[in-house]
Amino acid sequence: MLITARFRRESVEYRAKAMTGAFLVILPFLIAAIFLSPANLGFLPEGLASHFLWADLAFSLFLYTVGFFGGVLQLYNLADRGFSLRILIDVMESPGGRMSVDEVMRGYGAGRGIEWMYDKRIDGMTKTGLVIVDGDRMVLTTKGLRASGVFSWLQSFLRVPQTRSADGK
Amino acid sequence: MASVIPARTADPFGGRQVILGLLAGVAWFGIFLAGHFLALRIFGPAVRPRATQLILMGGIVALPFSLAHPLSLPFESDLAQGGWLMGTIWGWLTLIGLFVMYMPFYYTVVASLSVKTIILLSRRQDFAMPLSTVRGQFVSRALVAQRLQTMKDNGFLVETSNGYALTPKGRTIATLFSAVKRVWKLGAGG
Repeated sequence: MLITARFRRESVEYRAKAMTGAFLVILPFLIAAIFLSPANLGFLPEGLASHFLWADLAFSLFLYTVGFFGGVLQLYNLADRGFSLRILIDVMESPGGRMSVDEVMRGYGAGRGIEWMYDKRIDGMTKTGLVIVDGDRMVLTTKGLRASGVFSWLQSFLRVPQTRSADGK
Repeated sequence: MASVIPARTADPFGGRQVILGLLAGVAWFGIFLAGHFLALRIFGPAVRPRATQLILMGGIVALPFSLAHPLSLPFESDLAQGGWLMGTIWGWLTLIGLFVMYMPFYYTVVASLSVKTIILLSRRQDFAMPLSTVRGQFVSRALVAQRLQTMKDNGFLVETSNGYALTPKGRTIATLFSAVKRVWKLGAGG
């Protein structure tokens, strides 16, 4: 609710950061509520009440974290950055309710085109310090090189087909 | 402060049911991961999503049975005893929670264009490429065609004589996320 109110009230440039901030702001209130509430919440039968406060606390924090990082934040990531999702919405909103490959290329992102999509990615990679755009070249930073090493190993472990450039590298 | 911390009463199970349920959830997530990694080695990309779903469903079904012996089925106990039912609920929440945290990480590694870009750059001797070449790699008809085919394989699109159209499943997802974008004022996105 906090996030929704903020997103609707003002333009938020770093939305994911704002959402994480809200997660952290609410966290101490959750911890306080666990300590201050009775084990049976005032209405549960005693047999259903957890008898280890530390287990209650740990599990509550786990569910809260899952709900945020696996739930709300993922919902935002998909809605704001999802490539496939945007294609689905474009097809839904297209005049005939169907799009060819070329129409998707041209009309992606409510008419902005597929190049706009990748420009967003470049912008994101630049802002997070993974690459720099030096004139007409894209250059990997030291941070980007480290990250690429980790992801390259993960892709190999998860048997992801490797991306190769046009010259085969 | 001590007076506001509620006293915890004793019970015949000593709270074991929920702890065992939580441990069962973690254990079955570990089994899911092992099955998932094995499936990645056996099956091709088109089959992997379905295989992953089936492995997860298998864990969800098996979890309560795995708890039955240590916690005993509540043939004579009622809900007020907790026991197997509470342990199962905790186990399911743990298993599904860990799955929900893992899958976005998995799909980032597998599908993110940014990840693919930095890996591509890392393979160059000078860790750099002309911007036009990188764009050509990822702003390509082949990429879009491949993604549309994947979405068709996963049941979100159907191919017709003049393009791709939404299936009922695809329409549901598109409608839902279109509403989310409107409520949060996210703009075009994508």
